[in-house]
Amino acid sequence: MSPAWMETSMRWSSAIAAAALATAALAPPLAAPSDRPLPTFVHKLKYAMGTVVEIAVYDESLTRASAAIDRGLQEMVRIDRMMSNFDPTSELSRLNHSAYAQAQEVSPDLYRIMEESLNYSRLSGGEFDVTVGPLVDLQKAALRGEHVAGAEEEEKLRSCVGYEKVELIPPNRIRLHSPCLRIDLGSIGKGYAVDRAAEVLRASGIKSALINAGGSSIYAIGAPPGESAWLVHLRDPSGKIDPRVLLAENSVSTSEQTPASLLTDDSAGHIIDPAKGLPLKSSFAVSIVAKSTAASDALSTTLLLLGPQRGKQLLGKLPGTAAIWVSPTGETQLVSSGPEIRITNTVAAGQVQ
Amino acid sequence: MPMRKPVLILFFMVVVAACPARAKVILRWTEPAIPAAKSLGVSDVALTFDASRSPLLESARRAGYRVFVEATPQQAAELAPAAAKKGIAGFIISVGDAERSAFDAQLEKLRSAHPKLIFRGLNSHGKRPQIRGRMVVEHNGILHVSSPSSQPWVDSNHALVRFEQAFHPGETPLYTFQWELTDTLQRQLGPSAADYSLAIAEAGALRSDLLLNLHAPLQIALAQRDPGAWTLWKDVRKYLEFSAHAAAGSDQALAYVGVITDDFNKSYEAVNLLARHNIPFRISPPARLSLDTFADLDIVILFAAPDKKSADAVFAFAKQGGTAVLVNIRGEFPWQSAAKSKVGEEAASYATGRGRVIEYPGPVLDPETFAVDIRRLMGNRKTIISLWNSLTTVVVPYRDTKSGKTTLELINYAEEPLEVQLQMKGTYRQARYSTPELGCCQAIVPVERDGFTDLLAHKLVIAGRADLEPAAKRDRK
Repeated sequence: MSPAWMETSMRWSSAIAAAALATAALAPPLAAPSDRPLPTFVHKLKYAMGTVVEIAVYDESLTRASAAIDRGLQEMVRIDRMMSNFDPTSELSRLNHSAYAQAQEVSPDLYRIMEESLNYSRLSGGEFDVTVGPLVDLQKAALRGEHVAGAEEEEKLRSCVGYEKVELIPPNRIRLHSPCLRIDLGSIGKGYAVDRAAEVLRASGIKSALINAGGSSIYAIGAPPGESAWLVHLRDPSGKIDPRVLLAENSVSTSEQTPASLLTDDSAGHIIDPAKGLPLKSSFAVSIVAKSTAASDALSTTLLLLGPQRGKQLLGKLPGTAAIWVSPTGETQLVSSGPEIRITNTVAAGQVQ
Repeated sequence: MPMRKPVLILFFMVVVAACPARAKVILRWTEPAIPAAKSLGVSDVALTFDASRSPLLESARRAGYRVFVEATPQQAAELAPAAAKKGIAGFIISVGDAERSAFDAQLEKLRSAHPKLIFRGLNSHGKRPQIRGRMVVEHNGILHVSSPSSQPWVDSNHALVRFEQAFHPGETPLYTFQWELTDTLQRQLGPSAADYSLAIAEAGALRSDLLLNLHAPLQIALAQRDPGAWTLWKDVRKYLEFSAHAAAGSDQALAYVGVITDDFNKSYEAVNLLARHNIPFRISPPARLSLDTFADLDIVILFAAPDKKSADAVFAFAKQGGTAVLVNIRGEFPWQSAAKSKVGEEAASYATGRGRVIEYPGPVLDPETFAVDIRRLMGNRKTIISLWNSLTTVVVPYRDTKSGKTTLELINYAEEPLEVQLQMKGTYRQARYSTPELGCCQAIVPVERDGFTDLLAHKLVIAGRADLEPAAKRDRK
């Protein structure tokens, strides 16, 4: 058998660093059946999709776990490259450039993610829309003081965006019915990539894994040994109520506006309300549990834009979902059609179960 | 991972930002056999106090190493008289959680009593340099995800080293960290060549000495001349050599933000985030502040209350166009008679001539937003350095006080190739770029844009260095 340091250089990608986890927690779980090898715990990180992606796996085979994680991370990088708007040679860039003149053939992945995107656009009445990127870019430029668009310019841009101008032609073609429309999959792509990584892990025989993309998009396969589900603590801007959810074969995504400036009057946040052209004024953090990460990602920003009241109406149409809005003072709004989101303390009335 | 913060109340005097002599890596060697110093490319090793009584001490000396012994002040005092005879070059003494001033006094006493021996203070609160995720396993076995953020987090030792440099001017900082190999795979395999390289590159970029822990199986394999181990070490050696060529002497860390503090704990996270956001800063103790302290700064952040004379200096700095930010400091100050306005939710801003003083009433609970705000206060025109496509990269700028040459030390914590775009304030006629992989001194084309210079650092894997020659004065705009 090769010495440990040799395997280090051979088997470990230099791109993958280990996370800092508490050693005490990593002992094999007591509940593991005695007639089987004890599951090992493997955890790797990679910088991808503009964030730190982590995959944690429990498996009897260290080699299988390690190789499966590597394949899952590679799959996320592949999806990221496919959806890049910065790389002019990416599949999405090519679609944006040429699908107006005539329908373009696309890969099954791009077709599938566009199908899902348009589905959530219809469900949300257009609040979720992967075509509004150019409008948001214009609005952000105005907020930065770089280019203030006139009413005519903005109106023209509004007229050329809109999810209904994207046509899917089964089984694998897409046509854009506007010359200035540009698809930006930033609000759903990370979730889709997480789902793809989960598929790759499953295909590799992994039955217990947690995939986390930057803390805002998380998917769970199975459960840790001896447990019924993975426990995920959710964002709590109040620090008072500790919302959490048990995940097993489902996902959770979180959205919140960038915090207000402490030392300046600059209120610009990263989430722009396309209807108003202004940074969204919301101090809520919203977390949504859904069956896939693409779904929870798409819905989290949408629910932040809609707010609790309209958001709850939307979720009413979607089985297997749950959402929680948490304010900086600990006020919560909860809705569920299945998954249970738990909180430790009830700070204020107004919870809707 | 809970961060261990030493309870250090720092009392020292004048800050000199000049960077001391060239940074060194000292290997902490724990196994009985040791390969030759020349072959490892390292000249210093540190042994435990117990090992200093074993044959390892003599083996290490014969293998060509300068041998240090890790000891408590008491152990060092006991062993020091016989140290030279045993071939011990000096002692490395870990700074505990006790008051730092008492430790410094002990160190000074040892140095006075044994002037031929080297006594180094060791800060053992370093962190393993790495990108960090959000998963946390608690001691009760619950794996959870901490607060979501799209920003990747970096564990670096930048703030730690700057504190050491500020409060021990004239001494090269020495720190160490534990690898914390936590999951099954990591414990079996140990750190990779890239992990060792990152640690070495970071210390070199910060102009600090590093006491580096080597995984025990790797020590054994190196001593047994195993080819695989030496293949790994060959990669690490590139980084040892690259870091050894970092400039020194008249190099000064560039800064446009000053941090005035007397308490590591009170200001650590805010300073850590300034480093993470590539905001060049320097730390000064609060005593004896004068206008000279702020000479080359645009923003001063005070975590310690200024006395009357220092407050006058802060006021004069703000009147001349500077921005002073007071964090959680209450009192009567001269600027409070100026026009006051509310900024943000809680802060008050006083208009002082061409500048301003901002009083933020509480502690910094959101250091990320605080660091972003400091950049906002600076504005694009005054920002010395900006990076794009580089959320995992930290850049540390230096300027040679004699030649005016600027050196940018780049560290990529993601450990995989990046194309990093840099924008540096000022105009430069020539730029040379080096990495351990590419070798020395490739010419890169600086592109001038309206008083700034754009550069592309390509194939930045872990460490890179850009040397910028200033434009001749007549060419400068």
